[in-house]
Amino acid sequence: MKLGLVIDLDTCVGCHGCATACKQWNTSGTIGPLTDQQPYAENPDGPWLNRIRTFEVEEASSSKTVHFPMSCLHCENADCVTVCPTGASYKREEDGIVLVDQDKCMGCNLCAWACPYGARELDTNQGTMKKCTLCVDRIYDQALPEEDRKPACVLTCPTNSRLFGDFDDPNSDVSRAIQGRDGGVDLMPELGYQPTNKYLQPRPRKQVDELSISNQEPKSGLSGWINKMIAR
Amino acid sequence: MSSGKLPNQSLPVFEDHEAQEVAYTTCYMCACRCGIKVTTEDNQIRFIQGNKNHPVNKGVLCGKGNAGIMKQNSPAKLRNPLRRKAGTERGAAEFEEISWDEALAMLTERLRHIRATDPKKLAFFTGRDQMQALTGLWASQFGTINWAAHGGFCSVNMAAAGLYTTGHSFWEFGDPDWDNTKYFMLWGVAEDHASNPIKIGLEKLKRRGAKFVAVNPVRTGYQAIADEWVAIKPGTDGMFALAMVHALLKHRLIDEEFLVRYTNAPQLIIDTPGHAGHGLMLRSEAGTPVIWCQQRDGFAEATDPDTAPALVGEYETSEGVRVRTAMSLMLEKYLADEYSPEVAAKVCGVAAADIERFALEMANIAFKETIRIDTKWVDWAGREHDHFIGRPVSMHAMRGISAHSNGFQTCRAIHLLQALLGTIDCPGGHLAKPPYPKHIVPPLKPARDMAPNTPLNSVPLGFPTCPEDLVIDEEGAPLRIDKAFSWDAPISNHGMMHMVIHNAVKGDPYPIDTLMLFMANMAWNSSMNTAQTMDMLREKDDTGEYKIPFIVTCDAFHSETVNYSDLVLPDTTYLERYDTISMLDRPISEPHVACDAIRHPILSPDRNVRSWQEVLVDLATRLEFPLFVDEDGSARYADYKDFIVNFEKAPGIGFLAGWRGENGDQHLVGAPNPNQWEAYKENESFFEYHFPANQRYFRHANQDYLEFAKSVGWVGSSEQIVIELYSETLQTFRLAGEGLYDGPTPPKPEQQQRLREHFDPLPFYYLPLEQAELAETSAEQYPFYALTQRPMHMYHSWDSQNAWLRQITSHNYLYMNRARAEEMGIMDLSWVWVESRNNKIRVQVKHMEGVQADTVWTWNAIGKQAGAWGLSKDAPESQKGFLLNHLIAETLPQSSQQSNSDPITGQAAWYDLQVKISPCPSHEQISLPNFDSLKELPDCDPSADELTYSSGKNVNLKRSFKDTLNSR
Amino acid sequence: MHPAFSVLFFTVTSGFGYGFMLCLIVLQQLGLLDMGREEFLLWSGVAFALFTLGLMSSTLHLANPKNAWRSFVRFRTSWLSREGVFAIVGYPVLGAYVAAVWFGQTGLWLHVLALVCIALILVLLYCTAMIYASLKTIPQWHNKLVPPIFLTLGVSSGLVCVGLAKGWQHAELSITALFFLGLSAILKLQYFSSLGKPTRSSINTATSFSQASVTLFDAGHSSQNFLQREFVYEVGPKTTALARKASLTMAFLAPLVLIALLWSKTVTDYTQLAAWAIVISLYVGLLLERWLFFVEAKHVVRHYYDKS
Ligand SMILES: Nc1nc2c(c(=O)[nH]1)N[C@H]1C(S)=C(S)[C@@H](COP(=O)(O)OP(=O)(O)OC[C@H]3O[C@@H](n4cnc5c(=O)[nH]c(N)nc54)[C@H](O)[C@@H]3O)O[C@H]1N2
Ligand SMILES: Nc1nc2c(c(=O)[nH]1)N[C@H]1C(S)=C(S)[C@@H](COP(=O)(O)OP(=O)(O)OC[C@H]3O[C@@H](n4cnc5c(=O)[nH]c(N)nc54)[C@H](O)[C@@H]3O)O[C@H]1N2
Ligand code: SF4
Ligand code: SF4
Ligand code: SF4
Ligand code: SF4
Ligand code: SF4
Ligand SMILES: [Mo]
Repeated sequence: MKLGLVIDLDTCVGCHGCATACKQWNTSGTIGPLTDQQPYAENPDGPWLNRIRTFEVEEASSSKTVHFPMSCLHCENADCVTVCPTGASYKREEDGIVLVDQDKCMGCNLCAWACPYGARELDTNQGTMKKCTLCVDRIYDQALPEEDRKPACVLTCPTNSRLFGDFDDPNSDVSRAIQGRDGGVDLMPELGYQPTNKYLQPRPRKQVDELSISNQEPKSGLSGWINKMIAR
Repeated sequence: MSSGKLPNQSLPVFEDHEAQEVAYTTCYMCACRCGIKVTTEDNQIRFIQGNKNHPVNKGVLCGKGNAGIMKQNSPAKLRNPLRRKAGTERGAAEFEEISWDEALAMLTERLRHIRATDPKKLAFFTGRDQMQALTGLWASQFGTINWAAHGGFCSVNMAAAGLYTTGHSFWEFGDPDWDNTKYFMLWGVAEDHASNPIKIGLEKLKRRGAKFVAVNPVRTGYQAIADEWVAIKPGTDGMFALAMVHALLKHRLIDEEFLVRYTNAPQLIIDTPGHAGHGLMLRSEAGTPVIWCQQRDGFAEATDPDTAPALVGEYETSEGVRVRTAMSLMLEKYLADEYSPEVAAKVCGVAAADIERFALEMANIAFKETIRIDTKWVDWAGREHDHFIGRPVSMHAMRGISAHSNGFQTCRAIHLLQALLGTIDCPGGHLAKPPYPKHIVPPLKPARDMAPNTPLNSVPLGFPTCPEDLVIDEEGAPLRIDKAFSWDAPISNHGMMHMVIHNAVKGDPYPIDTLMLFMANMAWNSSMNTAQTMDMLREKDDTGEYKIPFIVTCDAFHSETVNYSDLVLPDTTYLERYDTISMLDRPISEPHVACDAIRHPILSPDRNVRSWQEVLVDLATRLEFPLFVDEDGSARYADYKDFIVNFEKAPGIGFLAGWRGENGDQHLVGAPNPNQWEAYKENESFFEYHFPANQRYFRHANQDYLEFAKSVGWVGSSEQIVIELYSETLQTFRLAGEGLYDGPTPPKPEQQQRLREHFDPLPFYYLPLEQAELAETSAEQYPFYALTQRPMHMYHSWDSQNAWLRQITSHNYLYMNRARAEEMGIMDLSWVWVESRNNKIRVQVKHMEGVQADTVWTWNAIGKQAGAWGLSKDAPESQKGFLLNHLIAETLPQSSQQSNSDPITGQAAWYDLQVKISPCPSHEQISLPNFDSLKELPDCDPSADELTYSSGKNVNLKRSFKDTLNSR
Repeated sequence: MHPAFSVLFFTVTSGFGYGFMLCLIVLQQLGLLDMGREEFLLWSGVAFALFTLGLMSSTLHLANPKNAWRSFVRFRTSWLSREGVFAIVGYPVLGAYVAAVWFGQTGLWLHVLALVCIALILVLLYCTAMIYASLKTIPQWHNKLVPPIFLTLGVSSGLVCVGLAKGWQHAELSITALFFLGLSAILKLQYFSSLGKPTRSSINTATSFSQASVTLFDAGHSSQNFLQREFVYEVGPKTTALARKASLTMAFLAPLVLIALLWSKTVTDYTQLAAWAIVISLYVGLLLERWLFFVEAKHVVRHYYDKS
């Protein structure tokens, strides 16, 4: 199994729903708590496992604003795992989820240094590294109704811009989503981390034909007007 | 949407589901009112998720809704009733805690005196609440006409334009047909009330490959995913829309069947310029509008189905009166050069070719990609049809249109465009949300007469159709404190809340005794001219008495307004109270589903708070409002729950439409059901009624629908709702302005002029009032338009107290077009002075590409007063954040009497603001104005400096030690 | 990258310690170190003290030191783990050598033990280097020159310590010191010039919009977060340029000149003082060099904040 997310940049409106859903699920979840510093003071900050940035992309042809959600991409080739001295950071054989064992982490930050995608944030209060768990504490929970066994961020996204599933299964949401969208793109492929999560670039802008008016003479004002017989 | 069943895994038990409780209720983090499923463990929230079955949000939640935990845990929650200490100054925040008994006793006493002497001395205004049905009922029972909600400063332009034109409207009264539309144009929307539905809808239509055009000076949020972004100049959409109308008419690319059958376009208008009656409808003896029938080659009543009305034409009556069809007037008006794309291009900054192209693209979709839904349905005249015709072009518009002083006519222009394309309440078009559409207009007149200890004979707000309906005295002076329904703004259906403090302090039209505010942050983000409003709230007369003697605020949190109150009544949070989302109020219905919903307590409050719902019922009983006490003066309703169950607005019709009748088997209409609340709870806290296939479209002319709507009290008659492209109501007021009306006419010349100029029976474009006045005097002086936008993840003022949401945005910038800013030597992140005719603020600039070059903007209501909302004194909200409101004057440049509002509806013209910008030399990096920090409230523990929230025990997923050694 | 002092101090000090121990052993094995056993014990004690101090400070920047012991577990893949393991192994092995010397042991096995110690120390220095050099996310560290620099710097610091212990009379010592300091100086200069080269990653590869000009409109959070504190550490180009000069002067130029002067007997009095000057100048110079090593390292996450 190769579990991961597909993120569709064509439809994300940047509502931050996935970010706060992630925060609320996980602060009471297996990776939690997620401690916030100065929550009501000058520099409020705490670990988030999913953040949304917004870029302006200026192209000669089409300029656009792009909302860009980012959480752990559960890389195939994840140096964040190999650099970890304690073995707290690991990639699960079963499904490829990259996790941090909170009981083993010593908070050395090395894994965060090794992550190109800013997917790991240190919880200074807990002294441990926090990251996306792919909601491992939801997706396998047999006590949840099946349609709920999905990551919190995926369940909540109003625009279906986040899809979850098994990339090894050709019929999963994620596999179907990347078909016909050029298989999706990798972020910073040059680093060779082989991210599992795929991004879908904005679709080409939709074009609509104008109604051809060649045959129709402009009717200027009342003069040219002949009423049609239309029953009330 | 299945992710493929995952194999069972040997994992620890993460959640103790036994120890958890699940309840369904309704979100209140914004006005969208999504259904939520709340999981709790020992009075702590584990998780708030969307309710999959809920018609509004279908399982999804936005950024705010997902942060409910931190709203519930806000340090700014009010804890006890507070009274301003005797002898202390208002605004000094010298409060003392008092008991509820004491608080309600002193309030009752005061209110009883007002009610017994001069009821209008109580002004009761409410903000972004969703319980106007109850507060309005309360006010009419009290007997004061001085009641309104936020509508007047919010988007009454949309509601009014819709209800006076199509019978429904944008805002909360209609939705695009997301499932069928193929071309969608979004006008001036950043987020709106249909917050999640719009997001869900946009994704649907993008996935389907429909085209999405965003008309907006700024390219953020929804506009970011549009196929085309139209960077229009603020305030010019009316011109843009009417230029597209020009193009469609020029090429006769219009739905003539639709116009003839469903609108008043073929109706005949009297054409006797300069004489009484000019511009009114030609009517039969029965008073019915008249058309010219081509078959009979003569006049006929417009309600006569067996006719073939002439759409265009000019005729003469037997009395020799010249009449023309409304359509003829439209052709004449809109085909004039003044509305040609070329002229429009100069006004809107949108290329003429593009304006024409948009018109032709929409025509193409409407007329060449027509859809057909094969369903038998019966029209208003009893004729059966075997299908619905769909013209899949739809639009949605909101405050980018409404928050301008020309917004009413602009919104009508957009409705005209929809009508010409035949896209109103048809498949793929713009659909009404039940209980809309209503007849044009609902037969509800604003109350005028008041007497001590007597309820109003009507509701405070209504729908004037002629000068006789205005709420003015014999001299034509306003009777309402906000001057709504006066000559200044005759059709101000939602009141003019933004003028209350100003007028009350000026004593114009008269002073009041008590101002009661519920859910309105009037000392801050909800007032124009905030800095001076704060002073007004403290202003005293020569006797040393406050000009507004007594201010009562019901709030749940430590807002800026709490600080200026004499009595503060602490409310519960949305997870702690009973509440109704009623069809008598702003409906949460979806186009094909009539809905209402409830809230019920899921958490028990840890404070001495009471829900405003309970307090209102309690006060109503103490004050012995006829509806609330029996003959013997004893309480008729035990509490709010009991009131909701047993109160009937009309026989069988109450606040909640579901599970009525003694044993809960009736819907929409039925006797009270003692177990109604329980029934709602069992049904996930919402009720929905699905319309049969034949009642889903053309409801303005759909007999089965109209008869059904009548039977459940949504409409008064089952007659066709004829779309009023030509508004006789507006013409009537214009005649009054011209002195050609035998009835009340405006005394003042400037009032007459406002009516003459703006009450055009056909939509037209005019320069927003403030801009027009400035153009006369200081045209070049204020080269920039200044706007605000809703951030999707914050709700007005109330989300800075949310520890998660404020991490996303704790201060706002003034966004400027990069090229334009650099021209002016204004660097990214530098500080500037922004100056309007009203005030001057110092703020930090951020460059961006996606903004119209003459426009600057910022996020709304991020700026806070230091010390409010449980935030530390140095919080960025107060040190770097700012309000644009300081720059916006509540009155027009040339008259301190004339409110800065739409001359027709009184809608606050927030977005007419023009400013100049200059670099700020000082190195001080603090936004100005900057106010002293508010004092802490009694008995509030200092806000935590570290938050480690978890509803239960976090179960770590351990990696086996063996694995750490072995794996590569 | 944010330069945590504990880390700067750790790498430089343990470098001195291990380098010193290395030189003591090598020189002694070559018979170039005429030291009595007391003297040898004393100086190797100093070396032990230095790298122990370094190692201890390295645990200071741990957010959860109680799990530090676990860092030996991932020897298979983690350079940090490897360094830890070798550091621990270092104590008995190096200790054994010192003891052997103290008890006047001789014979082939001592030479073998010496070789083991030498290899161990070289590997240790290499591990420290690889903690940084293995990070693909930081092009300025993921650089062929980093390991040789750490090695030569280690040896150089060792040699100047010997210089302090034994004085700078011996031509052999001076020449080797001059050689290694010179070599590290050249490598460092090369390293600096290699930083000029453009890196493969950019805001375009980070966002997948290869053909456009991409700018950040909103970071998604108002105040500084962990990522920015850790990776977006900005110092002006002037400061870095100055720091480069200073570090080159103090770490290399000054020691080279002084050693040359001492060796060539141009300076004859205050030699002990000069020897101290050399050590201190190199030590401070290397602290600066290490500060720059962090400050000039640009983590690719910066691209998501529109910082190249
Ligand atoms: N998250 C969130 N949701 C909310 C609210 C909130 O505070 N936060 N508030 C609720 C309330 S009370 C309301 S009234 C609704 C309002 O919902 P919106 O109508 O979305 O209100 P605004 O944020 O004012 O958005 C106005 C938009 O119009 C654009 N605009 C300004 N002037 C013009 C113009 O002349 N022409 C055009 N075409 N566009 C223009 C602005 O750039 C902006 O994008 O939102 C409701 N929903
Ligand atoms: N510059 C600028 N100004 C604007 C606008 C703009 O676009 N630009 N938009 C205008 C519009 S459309 C509107 S609607 C207004 C919004 O106007 P308001 O409704 O006045 O402002 P809010 O900040 O939404 O909330 C008002 C108060 O409700 C309180 N509150 C929250 N929850 C509860 C509760 O459960 N019970 C009680 N009793 N109180 C509660 C909050 O604490 C807050 O003090 O702002 C207007 N002001
Ligand atoms: S919830 Fe969906 S739309 Fe909202 S920011 Fe996340 S991905 Fe984008
Ligand atoms: S995204 Fe970062 S944290 Fe996640 S697997 Fe890849 S490298 Fe590791
Ligand atoms: S911070 Fe924790 S998880 Fe990351 S490398 Fe260090 S020990 Fe491993
Ligand atoms: S999968 Fe779960 S942990 Fe990962 S980003 Fe989504 S919600 Fe957060
Ligand atoms: S849109 Fe968001 S905040 Fe508003 S009701 Fe729905 S979930 Fe709650
Ligand atoms: Mo509003």
